Amino acid sequence: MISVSEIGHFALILALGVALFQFVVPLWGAQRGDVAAMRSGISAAVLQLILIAIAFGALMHAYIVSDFSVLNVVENSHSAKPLLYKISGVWGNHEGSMLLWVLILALYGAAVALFGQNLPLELRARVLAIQGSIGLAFLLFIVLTSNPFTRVDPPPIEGNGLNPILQDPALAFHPPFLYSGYVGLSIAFAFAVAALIEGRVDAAWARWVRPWTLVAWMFLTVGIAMGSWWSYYELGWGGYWFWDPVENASLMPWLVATALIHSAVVVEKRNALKIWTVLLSILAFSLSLVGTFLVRSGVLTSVHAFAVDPQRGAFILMILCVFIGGSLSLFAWRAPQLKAGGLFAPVSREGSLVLNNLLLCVASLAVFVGTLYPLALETLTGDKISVGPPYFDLTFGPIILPLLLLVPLGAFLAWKRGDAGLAVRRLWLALVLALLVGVIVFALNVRGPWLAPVGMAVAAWLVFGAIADVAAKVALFKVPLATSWHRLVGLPRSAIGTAVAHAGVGILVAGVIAISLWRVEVIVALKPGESTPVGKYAVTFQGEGPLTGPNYSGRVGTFLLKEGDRELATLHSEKRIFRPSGMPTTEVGLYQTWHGDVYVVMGDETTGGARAMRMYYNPFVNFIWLGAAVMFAGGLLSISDRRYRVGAPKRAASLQAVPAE
Amino acid sequence: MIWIVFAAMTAAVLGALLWPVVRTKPAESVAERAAYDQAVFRDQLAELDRDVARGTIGQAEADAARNEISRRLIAAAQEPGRRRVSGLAWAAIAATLIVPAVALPLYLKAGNPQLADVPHAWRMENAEKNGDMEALIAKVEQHLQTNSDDLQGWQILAPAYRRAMRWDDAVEAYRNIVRLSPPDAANISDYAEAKVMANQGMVPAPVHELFRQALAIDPKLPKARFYDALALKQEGKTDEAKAAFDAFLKDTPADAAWRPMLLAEMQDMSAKPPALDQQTMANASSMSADDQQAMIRSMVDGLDQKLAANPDNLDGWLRLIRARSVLGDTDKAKAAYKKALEQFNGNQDALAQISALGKEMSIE
Repeated sequence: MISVSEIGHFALILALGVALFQFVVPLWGAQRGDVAAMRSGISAAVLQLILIAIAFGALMHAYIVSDFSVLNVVENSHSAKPLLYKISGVWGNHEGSMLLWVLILALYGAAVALFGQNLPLELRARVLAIQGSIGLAFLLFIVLTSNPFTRVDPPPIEGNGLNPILQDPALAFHPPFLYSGYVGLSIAFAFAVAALIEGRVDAAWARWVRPWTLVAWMFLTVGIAMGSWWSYYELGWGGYWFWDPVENASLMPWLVATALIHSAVVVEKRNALKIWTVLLSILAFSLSLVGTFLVRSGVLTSVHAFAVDPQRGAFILMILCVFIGGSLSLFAWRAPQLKAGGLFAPVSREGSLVLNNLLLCVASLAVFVGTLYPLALETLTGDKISVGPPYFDLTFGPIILPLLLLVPLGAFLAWKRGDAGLAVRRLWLALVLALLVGVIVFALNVRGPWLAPVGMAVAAWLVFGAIADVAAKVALFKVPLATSWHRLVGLPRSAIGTAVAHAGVGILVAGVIAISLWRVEVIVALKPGESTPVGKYAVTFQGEGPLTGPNYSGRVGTFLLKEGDRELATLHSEKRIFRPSGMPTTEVGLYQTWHGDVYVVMGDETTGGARAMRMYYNPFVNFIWLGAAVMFAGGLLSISDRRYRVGAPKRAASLQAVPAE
Repeated sequence: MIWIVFAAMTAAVLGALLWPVVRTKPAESVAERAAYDQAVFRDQLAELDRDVARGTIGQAEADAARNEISRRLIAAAQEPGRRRVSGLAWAAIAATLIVPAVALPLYLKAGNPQLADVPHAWRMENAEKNGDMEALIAKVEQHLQTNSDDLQGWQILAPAYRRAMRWDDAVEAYRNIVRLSPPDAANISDYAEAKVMANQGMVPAPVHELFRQALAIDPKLPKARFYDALALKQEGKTDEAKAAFDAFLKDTPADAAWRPMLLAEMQDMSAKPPALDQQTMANASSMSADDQQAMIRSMVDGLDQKLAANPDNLDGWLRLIRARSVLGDTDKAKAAYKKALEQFNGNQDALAQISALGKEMSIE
């Protein structure tokens, strides 16, 4: 019988060979102007995807049929696991997640190869070559130190099972999205390095690189939001963001990628900020590399975990040094040769975007310091310190606040030389509405924290500013409504996308401010039949019973949720004990409304037959994820803009090349 | 067989990589860099015109932008084209050989081409056919999870667990056998034996009781007799243990499998009295000084009694004499000294040791 796993293993190793080819041959071809060599990079990129997909499929097959002759399956799966978690178990571990990483890398590479006809052949070849070099490094890492196809002979009869906390639908799909974001930034990186090799960055380059950056940013946004949603309802701590190093590791590249999608606009429109944009492309991917590996190497959970497998640790460090050090050296050498671009006044669209970039990068730096300082300190002195939310509230908050105030203004400034007064005048209605929201919140919340009205006013400012942006573009109420509608349909999708994404930020800010100010937290011990008020609700603990699942058992508590005399819902919170590990998890009882969630967690038994309960009313918490979804939708609108579908010129001889629209 | 698949995969990869070389396009057919740039700049101009038509951009701003884009367009047109070549066939072919040159040695090092897949379901289905013990056990286990009253199932599992030395599982299996079958000496003693094994060879009182139950049903059952004697020995009832062992040995045929083990236990018996076990030591160390003295005295008394019953133990006598002297019980020490001398009358070596100790303790 032919072994699927061995075919997968062989395909993975063939992909390594193809990656080497993809790195060397197109680069050399672009240098010589060798058309065949450059074009072979396209074949290589597609082959790379096919081969890694075969390997990934083979590993997934081993998981689905519970082939315990594969060590990775033994360590992370169990024959009694539900199918969904057998599949998600493929990337719920170190080796498998690295394989997913290179699969997504290959997917992006193949996408550039297949859909990049609008790119000059030299540029496409060089971009694919840089992609190939990244693939080569990671495939070597996988094959030499983290091989998912290591076999066991004779095989054990059962596996150890997937970490129960990962057996959750949101977490099953969180890593693929997050990785699509991380790895998507590799395309921006490859474009930047290719541009440095060619010695040219211009408006056309920016136009080509922008959609890829935008796609990566969108996936990163959704990935982070899914992770936050998962930690909200699975960990049972009632929070949505903990400034945990693993979360920060994904936030840093997101901040820099956000800066990048904005600075690339300046390059495309004004041919300015070119060097800066190249640097941001390098930094964004470097941070996603650092993020991936801080998480994957286990450095974050403990400095000492890094040393557990010195071979892996050293390899990771080497990859980081080669790619970050190499690209920055190339940048230092080549960047001075890039021609400077257009000039602009401080008060202008460009100026506001520069400020946007500075604030985002400083915010990212603040997160970087807060994440890595404790690590460095522990390595150097052995002291363990914890940098928690107070640090981030004090640094991240004040940096981001001016940025949020600036967002609606920037959108109203003209390119090259803007008029701040004019922009404010055109935004007066949004400003008044935002202040009004602030005043209302202040009135409702007299004894509350001072931040409440300010924060809510900022959120409203963002949303109304975005609406004003679109309203101005369609001349709302200045022309008949039908004309406005007609103009809206005719607007470039990217203009609408920008406004939508900015409104999403406002929605998210509203959620964050609301939950940090008005959350109700109740920690209480209840016996069956007893009630406790949670905000305006009353929760009655009705009792608990046994619980049996496919690979777990435990207790389920039943709660009756009432508002006044009205029964709203019956909630269930579970404590599960998973086989075979015996690890406990909690399932939260959640009652969701548009204005907030009631969140019930059944805790441990206390003396006297009572159970410790934690209950929250989280006002507007879903605005956080709604905001992220709206930001994603904004990205989607932008990416569908027709400017990204400029066709390829047909032949060299023809100077009448016409963009296909 | 699998190598045919590998060869086909490699061939397909090489073919795909060489395709652009074989189907090479003439270099001239590939558009110049400038053409791509111009396509973008023309689109920017068109976009600008649309913005002007929509009125979303001011006239001055639009004019400035149009100027800039036009300059880019002109610059792109003036850019010299790069020389291109169609490609060197031999170099491309040589380059594709990178792939197998890297992949084959790596796979030979890391791969296991000789191993087949072992899907869980397939393994379970073919457990009988393949004589796959582990799979068989798992199958029966699965069956018993829902039919825990199936005696036959437990009867298959129990000896399998015993062979695999999974003692805790064996205890559970034998417990079920005892539960599901009429009282039977062999079953009870198998159950008890598994408990002894799970307990590192010690026979605690409740387990000893099980062996007694077995003996009540069948007084001649060898396994029960052996463990009964062993339990007596471990409980310090040396005489009874000795008697039980002797009786058992008498009934044991010369070729019985357990005979060597029995003899080893008996040999071990006549050696030293049991030393203090760790638990007793630990208890002693946490006691008050008075309690400690009391405990030591009671232990020494125990030793005295044992020597009275079993006096042919030089080591024991020496320890008794030393202990009595150290504790300050001079009279008892002298008595022990006298008895020891009587006991070993005629054994010069032993007498010399005893009198030397007497001198040392000055109880002569």
